[in-house]
Amino acid sequence: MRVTTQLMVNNTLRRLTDRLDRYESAQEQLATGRRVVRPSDDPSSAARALSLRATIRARQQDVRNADDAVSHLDRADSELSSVSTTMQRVRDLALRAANDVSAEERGAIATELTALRDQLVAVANTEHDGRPLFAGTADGAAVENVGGTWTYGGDDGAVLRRVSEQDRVQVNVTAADAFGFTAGQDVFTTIDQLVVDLGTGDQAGISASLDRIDTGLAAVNGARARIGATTNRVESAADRVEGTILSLRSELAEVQDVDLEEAIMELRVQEVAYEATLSALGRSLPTSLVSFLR
Amino acid sequence: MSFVTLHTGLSGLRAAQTGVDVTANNVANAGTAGYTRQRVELRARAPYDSPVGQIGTGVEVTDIVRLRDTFLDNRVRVAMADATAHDARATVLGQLENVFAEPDNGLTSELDELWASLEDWTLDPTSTAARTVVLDRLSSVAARFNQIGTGAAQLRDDARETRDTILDSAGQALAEIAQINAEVGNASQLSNQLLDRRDMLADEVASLLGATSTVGSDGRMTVQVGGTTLVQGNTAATLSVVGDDVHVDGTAVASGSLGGEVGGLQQVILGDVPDVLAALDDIATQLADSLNAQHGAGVTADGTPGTPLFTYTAGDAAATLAVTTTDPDALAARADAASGAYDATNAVALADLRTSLTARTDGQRHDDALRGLVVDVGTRVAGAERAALTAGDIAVAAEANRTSAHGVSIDEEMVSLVQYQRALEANSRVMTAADEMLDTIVNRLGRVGR
Repeated sequence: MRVTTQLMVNNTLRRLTDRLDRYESAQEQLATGRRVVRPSDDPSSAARALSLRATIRARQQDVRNADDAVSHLDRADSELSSVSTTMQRVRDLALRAANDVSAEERGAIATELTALRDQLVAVANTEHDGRPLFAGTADGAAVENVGGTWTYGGDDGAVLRRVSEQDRVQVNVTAADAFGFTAGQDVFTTIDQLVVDLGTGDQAGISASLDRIDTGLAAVNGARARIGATTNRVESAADRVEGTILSLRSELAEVQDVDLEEAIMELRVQEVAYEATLSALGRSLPTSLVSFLR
Repeated sequence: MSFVTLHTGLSGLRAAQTGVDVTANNVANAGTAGYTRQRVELRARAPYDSPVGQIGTGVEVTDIVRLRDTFLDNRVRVAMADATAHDARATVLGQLENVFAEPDNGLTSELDELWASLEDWTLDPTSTAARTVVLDRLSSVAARFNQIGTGAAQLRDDARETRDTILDSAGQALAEIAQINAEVGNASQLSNQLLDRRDMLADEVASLLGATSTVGSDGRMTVQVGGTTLVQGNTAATLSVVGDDVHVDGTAVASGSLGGEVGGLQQVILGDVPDVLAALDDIATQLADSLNAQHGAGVTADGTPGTPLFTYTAGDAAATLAVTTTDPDALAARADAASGAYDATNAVALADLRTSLTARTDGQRHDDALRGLVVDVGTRVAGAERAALTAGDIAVAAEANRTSAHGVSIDEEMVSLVQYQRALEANSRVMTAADEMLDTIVNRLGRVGR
């Protein structure tokens, strides 16, 4: 090939820009920490990276949802645990009243039972985060006494929390379930009736109320068992999701991040190469026959 | 002994002088763009008959030629047209990719945030804060769609403007080629400088339009693009744009036959940008439709059915997408008027549109469709950049080949200079010798014994 001055100048310029371009791209990778800065750097990796980002974002939301679900469930569980204790006390009192006790003592028991009932009503109408805990999705009191009849004021709406991609769990129990409205007789009516029976000294009625109290206790414990099971499910789902997020993150790093050692090496290599190109050009360009003709 | 030797020496002297002049001109133009190195063509002059045979009468300069190879020219022009076409496309597409701003500040992350905000809303359906965040995210998504939609359209308009400017300068180049053709036709001797200029113009129209050129036996250049003649003899065609079609003398040219920068831009204007915009519009339309439909299926706190969340102009959905309400209470979280105040059925259904395979008519998720578009743009850019790189390498190699043949080598010129200088000295010596001989004959002959 015939080497002309213009050719050398052009080649020189091209080599220099080429080197500088690679140097720049090595620097960009190192500065951003990313191997894939734009989708066009590596379209298939970019697709994977975008998909991973979306999944990570959704899984982070799952963790938030699970946290919210657990707080909801814990609250319900602690409330129902107190209901369980109260009901146990109601049962103890009924048992005592079923044995022959004095009218005076029956009066004392009745007074305590009324207080316990009010306590149960208060628990049933507990609010969590500003909304009724046991009223399904309804607003207002879950349990109220309408014209002498205890009624469930809520609905059977489910409060759902998504804890993984396709898994929505119901985190609420309703007062209808927990306080025996659906299992025959609600505990409030049972206690009221017991109080009436105590007043009239109806021993048969008092004995009969024991069965109903047991049914009520079973309803509360059943509700607590459901909450416990759901809590386990939510917590294990949350654990799984946390693990998933970790592995997704490392996969994302694998896909889009630059290997730091490699990037630093590459930058050094390009830097040296650029300098070498410069100095080689500086040495080769000016020489021509002109310098030697005297 | 005659005076012929003096003239012979003089011819050599003149030839050497011409050689030095041409060499000097070559050296002076070593860095001039488009300059073709020139050489002096020498020929022995006709001899005269002497009694003993024919004796030569020296040398004459017949021509000063350009050392130009049209084959190399054509290779360079084809390669340059290809390289500039890919380069123009890659540049605009690269800007399009920047408009998308993926992966960090793009639509995908906005959409992720929208879904997350809907999910947050399901946790507390009556919360004004959660509802406000949802409205905020909806607006951000709409704004991002708007930015990308108008940004892409703006890029296309810019590309159109560039194309029109290029067509203008290509038109001027064509006119100048025709003008040089005319001068070439009139002149008895071809001016090397004009021919160099015409070759540069041919390079220019090749890289601008992908035009090819041939030089006829009459020395005039014919320029064509995809079978359409642009310059023939002394006349150049006029270029114009009607709609998005390039017209030559009023007749449309198939945009596929155009190359060079205009060809690359036409690909973007007629192909890439409309494709991407159509896909973006489709994503915006289907996202808006599915959210609107699902929102309409629920009711607000006071029991009124949800009104559409988004409005858009059909056919220009991305650029016109807008959120209809700023009122947090307008969001419909409940399933129907009979459901509880804290019912989040519809909010859940809205959040579930993220993973729904039926939200779009083609069975894709919204996320997947959007990601597909982002990757499609990335692939187009990567493809165009790769093609530009390859075509650029080919063009550089072709150009190097041509420069190597046409360009001035200082070393060579130095050798020529020495050669002509010595020739000049030698011819001067010949003339001196002839002069001295004549002196001997004229002034000293026949003076024996004086």
